Amino acid sequence: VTRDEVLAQLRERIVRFAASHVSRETAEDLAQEVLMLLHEKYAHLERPEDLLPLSLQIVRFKMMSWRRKAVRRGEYTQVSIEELPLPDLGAGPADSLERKEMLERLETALGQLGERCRELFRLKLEGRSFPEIQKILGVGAINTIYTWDHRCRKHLLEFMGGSWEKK
Amino acid sequence: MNRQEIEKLLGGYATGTLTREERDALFAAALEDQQLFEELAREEPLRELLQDPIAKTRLRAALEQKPAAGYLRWLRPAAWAIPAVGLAALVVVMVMQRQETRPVMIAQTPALPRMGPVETVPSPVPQVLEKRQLPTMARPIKAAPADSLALAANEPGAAPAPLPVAAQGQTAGALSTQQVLGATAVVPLAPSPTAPPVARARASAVRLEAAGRLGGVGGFVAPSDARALFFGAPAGAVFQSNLVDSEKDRGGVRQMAQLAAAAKASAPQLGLRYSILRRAPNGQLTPVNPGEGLDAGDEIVLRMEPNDTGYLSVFEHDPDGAWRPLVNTPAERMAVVNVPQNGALPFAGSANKELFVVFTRQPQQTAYPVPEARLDQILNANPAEQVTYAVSTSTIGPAQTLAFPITLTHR
Repeated sequence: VTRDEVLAQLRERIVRFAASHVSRETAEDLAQEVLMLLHEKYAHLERPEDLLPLSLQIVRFKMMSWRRKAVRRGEYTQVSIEELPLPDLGAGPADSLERKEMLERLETALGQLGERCRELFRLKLEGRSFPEIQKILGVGAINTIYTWDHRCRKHLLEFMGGSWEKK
Repeated sequence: MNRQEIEKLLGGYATGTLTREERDALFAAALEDQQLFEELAREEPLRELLQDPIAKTRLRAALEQKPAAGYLRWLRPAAWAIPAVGLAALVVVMVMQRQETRPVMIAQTPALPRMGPVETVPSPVPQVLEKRQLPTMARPIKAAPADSLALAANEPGAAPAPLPVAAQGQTAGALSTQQVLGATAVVPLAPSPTAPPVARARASAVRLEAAGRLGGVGGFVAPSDARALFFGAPAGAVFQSNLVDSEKDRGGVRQMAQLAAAAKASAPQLGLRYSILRRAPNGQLTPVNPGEGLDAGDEIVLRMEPNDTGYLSVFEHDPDGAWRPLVNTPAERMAVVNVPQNGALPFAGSANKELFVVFTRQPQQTAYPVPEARLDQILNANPAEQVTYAVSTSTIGPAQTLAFPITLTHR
């Protein structure tokens, strides 16, 4: 798969994902900005496993920035790519606050998990892979670990209120 | 891997648990599947958070703490609740006990003395006056020899004067020598035994007539209320103190002794009697009648005598308007206090001398507002005794206070 094909697929996914949160035009603009950034700044990346998480991160920052601007200015004007500054990936005061709140909520939610889920999550935070966790927990099949992790994630999301971020 | 198996890899995306193969499979599927792509996008905040090593360490520490068992989760708040409930119960019990023992506080209004009608002091004047025949005015009678009286008695038409029977019982016994000498008639008190009966009768009639006229002077003198209150009991008849020695065993002396005894016994009304004494050239002090004027250059002494123990203050009004204390001393009951205690007050100049007396049962915490005279007091001058009685009429014993001015006037 060529890089252009990956970017084309990414654009389609980004537009549809963003359109579920903002207007269609804004979603297309956001996707365009993400692709422009990937094209100009990250031209050396070609593989999907590199481009996809990067594009997800950029999309998230773009959407957060767009929301802040919309709230601050009270307008939904389009800004040309020349005028748009590059996203600051560093955490600002608002980001730090949100991260702190999210961490507290996550701590509380983890305390409500069962012992197995807590152990599984602890091993994941230690950097263990699923095969390593399988060995540590003495589980025969890796799918069992996948299933446990899927259920634990579902429970954790429920304890977090359905979303990692505060709605 | 099918769609469901790939979806199970989502949990490893944020934590970085996925192997390279798992990640490739997940991302390839995400590029093809919009729902999976969006789920990955929703995992992005968690992934970002877990990239922070501080947050990661904190979460690991939270996970390493084993959660308390179910019953322990209940015991944990109970560990705080049980002592708290006990403490609250203890406080409630203490408050209830305190409320039980504490007397009910009700605003108490001090019982003010009922200002009822003022008790009338029995008047020493007899309620039923004895009806006496008024003494006839005796004509000046010139002393004549008994012989001439005897001759006159032999004259026809000469009748003996009527005898005042009522005055008969109180004549000679109550008369003093000075009164007798002051009478317009000077008659021999005892008729000559050699005189004829008519002359003896005439002489007796004259004597009785004179005695009847003077009997009122030595009889009852209506005492003032202040005097009666001063002695703490209704005073009886007041007799002049100028009785002859031979008559001192009569009723006047006895009643004066009774009054003194009553004054010594009790003094429900705070009283004070004073007399103004003038120093004679020979140094002796002679009393001045109440209201009598003084001469410039006189030296006077104020003689005070309280009927109960108290605190006496006498002030003198200076020409500059200030009140200067002359005496401020405790005074014993029926003990004489001279003002000034040493020497005498000069009565000089043409202006009247104003004094102010304050006599209280209790020591004065605050200075009395001189010259504000009290309204609950009675002052009566007694010319017969040449003293002035001042008695408080207040019914509140400890608060009884006398405060009155004394003005010495020029003659």
